[in-house]
Amino acid sequence: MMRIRLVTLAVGAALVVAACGGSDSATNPATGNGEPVTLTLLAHESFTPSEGIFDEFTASTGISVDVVRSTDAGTLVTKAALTAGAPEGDVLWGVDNTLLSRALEAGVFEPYRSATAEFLDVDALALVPNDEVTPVDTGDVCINYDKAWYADRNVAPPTSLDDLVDARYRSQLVVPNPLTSSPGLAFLLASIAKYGDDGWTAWWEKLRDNDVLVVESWSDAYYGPFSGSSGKGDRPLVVSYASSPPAEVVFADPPRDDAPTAVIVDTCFRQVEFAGVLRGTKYPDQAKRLVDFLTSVAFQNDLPLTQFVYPVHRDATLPDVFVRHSVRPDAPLTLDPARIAAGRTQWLDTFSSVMLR
Amino acid sequence: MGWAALTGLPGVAWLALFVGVPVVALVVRVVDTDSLRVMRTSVPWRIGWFTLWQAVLSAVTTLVVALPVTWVLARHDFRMRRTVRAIVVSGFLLPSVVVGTAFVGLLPEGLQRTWIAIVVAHAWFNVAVVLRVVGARWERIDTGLTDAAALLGAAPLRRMRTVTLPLLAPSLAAATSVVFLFCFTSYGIVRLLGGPGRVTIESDIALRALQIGDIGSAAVLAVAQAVFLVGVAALSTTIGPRIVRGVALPRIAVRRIRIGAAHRPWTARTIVASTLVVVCAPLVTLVVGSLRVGSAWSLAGWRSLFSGDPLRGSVDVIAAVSTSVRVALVALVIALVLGAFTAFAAVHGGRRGRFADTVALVPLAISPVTVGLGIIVAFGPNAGNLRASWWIVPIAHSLVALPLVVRLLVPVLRTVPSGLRDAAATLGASPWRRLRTVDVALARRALAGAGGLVVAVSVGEFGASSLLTRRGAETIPVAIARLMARTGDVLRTQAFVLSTVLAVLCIAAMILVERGDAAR
Repeated sequence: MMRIRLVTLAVGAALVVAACGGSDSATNPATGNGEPVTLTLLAHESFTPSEGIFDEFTASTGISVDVVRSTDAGTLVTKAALTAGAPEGDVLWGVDNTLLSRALEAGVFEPYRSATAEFLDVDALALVPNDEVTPVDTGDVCINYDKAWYADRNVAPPTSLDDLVDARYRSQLVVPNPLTSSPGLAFLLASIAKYGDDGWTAWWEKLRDNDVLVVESWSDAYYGPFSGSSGKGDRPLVVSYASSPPAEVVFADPPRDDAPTAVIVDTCFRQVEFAGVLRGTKYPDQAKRLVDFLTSVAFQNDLPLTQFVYPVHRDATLPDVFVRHSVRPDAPLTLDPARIAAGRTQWLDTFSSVMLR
Repeated sequence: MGWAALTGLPGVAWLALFVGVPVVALVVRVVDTDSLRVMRTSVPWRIGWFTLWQAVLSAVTTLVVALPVTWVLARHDFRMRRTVRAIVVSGFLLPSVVVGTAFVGLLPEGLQRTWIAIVVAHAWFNVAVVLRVVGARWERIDTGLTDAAALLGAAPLRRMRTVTLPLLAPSLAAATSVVFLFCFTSYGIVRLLGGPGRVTIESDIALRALQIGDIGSAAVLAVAQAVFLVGVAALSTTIGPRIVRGVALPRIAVRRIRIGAAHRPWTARTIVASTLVVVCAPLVTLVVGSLRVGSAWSLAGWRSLFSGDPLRGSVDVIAAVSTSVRVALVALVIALVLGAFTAFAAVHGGRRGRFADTVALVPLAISPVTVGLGIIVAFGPNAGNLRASWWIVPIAHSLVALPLVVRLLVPVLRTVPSGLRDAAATLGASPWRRLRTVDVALARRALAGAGGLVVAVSVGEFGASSLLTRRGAETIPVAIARLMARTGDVLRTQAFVLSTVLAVLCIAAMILVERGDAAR
């Protein structure tokens, strides 16, 4: 009998704790006039602004912001596309130029030209002529190299995509799979931007013959086979971000002054991230004000050190560690979103048949 | 017994609502003639073949690795017996994200990103299933039977073949089929350890749905996989009992030999020691990882856990642990209650009852990613916005755990002698009282074991949780995956800290379960 009572007790306890859990569940804001509004901002894992960054916005507008994160940008866009018209939130942060076509085809966004538009990066803005979304930050995906590895061996690091297929750099590069990783996809697009529809597969075949290693994700590559970060790997070249060297400095423990890694500028592909109002939101007006805030100087200044990306607002200031340890390519490789939209699936198919069989 | 089949209804209804409706909603939303084209390519056959053989090989390897230690723990007594059991079982509770990462740190470069790595990790992961399912039955085989066979001159191998194995058969079949299903639909381990070229159906579904954005093909593959696996499962539930006849084993006072007094004490000791080394090696890499920041030894990861000043981009460890515990408790209640009803229907409810049994296997066969996306489509604003509620995560976990509960309970209930129930009826006991005093009483141990498994599945579940988790409700595996994906040595170290905390919690919980078992 003791056992039965224990079970009853456990059931009761579970229901009680669950009820407590239920009470602080996701918001279900009232729709009445004059009620305080809470917006849900959908984002990916890497959206990590400073604590309390929205306080100022809430104080001036009366609108609260609840951030809900998906694991990665691909999942975020998949969920948004599935729920187009009946969205899980009001504003979405973090669809980039490699994924944008998927979201636009599904009709995820309600077009809106941000009040801040005239202050934003012109090139980034030009990617969305119909204003479905607004650019919020940019970053570059580039080959990073382990400075000590090359210095110890008295070898010059590679300086271009061409160099990577050179026998001197055999078995030195590790890349994340473009099918499963957003920087991986950016690097694939870099090769297409550089070598064109006719040449990129041949380049990858040479890369394969030069013993490139393809792994599942960016973190698998950067912390695994790559030798320049905390991993015990033996490959001195990796696909990562232009902001990875400053990140190594900021997160170093014990602190250090110089980055252990550096960027090969001629391999950089420009990633632009966008935010937009989700079609079907109950609060379109408030959602638009949030997009304005996300592109305001106050918010944009917070981006570099919290998310290791560059602001798009021209009046935003860059922190010193960025200026010292990161490079900003003047003419990064890019591809038109329409061309990405048309070619993406086919390119990925070709990539897997060349590289993964 | 007409009413017995009715006890299968709640489970079937629950699955229809939270698996059937979402999957149908998703298929209706995304599948068109275009997405059916994937079935006409060579893709499903190629990845299906790999999925099948790695699952079979993994299941066989698991049995080979697990049976020796199961034998020692069932038949021998020694001082640290319960602790050893707890440690071996705890591996199963760790999320595949953690297991995968631990193995990446452990395996030599030559074995990484190979099918061998997948099979090794699968075997490591599932040893607990064999230990619990087969061990529970092995303990109840009267040693008098084997002693008698020995007296009659049967050699050890012959005793094993003619006495022990036939008595173990139902539990061996149950354990093997569960392990096979786990390995067939495994996702995290395949992704982390197989390398980009090695794709199973499950990982291809996630790839298409989440990364490539081809949700239509993903849904088609998910349905094809589910149909195949349910077919296999249905075959095994109808044919299984005919081949593998369950024999009632009486509850006996377990008689274990002191390991020192055993016939071959060193064989048993070697088995325990080598199993412990194999089981602990990945756990040690987690601890080591939690103590290193970059390439130096450091306590920074642990300090940040206990200081009130969280790192940017870090997660609230205490909150994640408490969320996981709360979610697991709710999933436990749902899965145990529904599972017990369904198992009862399966045993006593005739053909309709066995239908419930087969339906209860569906969640093992259908990909969590598909169910997760389906729930998002089906339970939006027009359906109470359940997708945004805290309850949806424990509900999803209850779906994943339900088949395991049923699998564990059915063989036990089947071997409850019907004479006992008849006797109780003759003495005037009501059906409810008969159930309580006969079936529940005899299945108590199995219920406890099933409960442990539900908690394990819930604490480790990642696929559906990662799609459904809302702010402030992230479970430990979701938090670990979040930390793993971020730049920064300290955050990565924190992921190992959290994994270590999880491993320690699991071992502690298992030791408590074992103690409770002993105290009864």
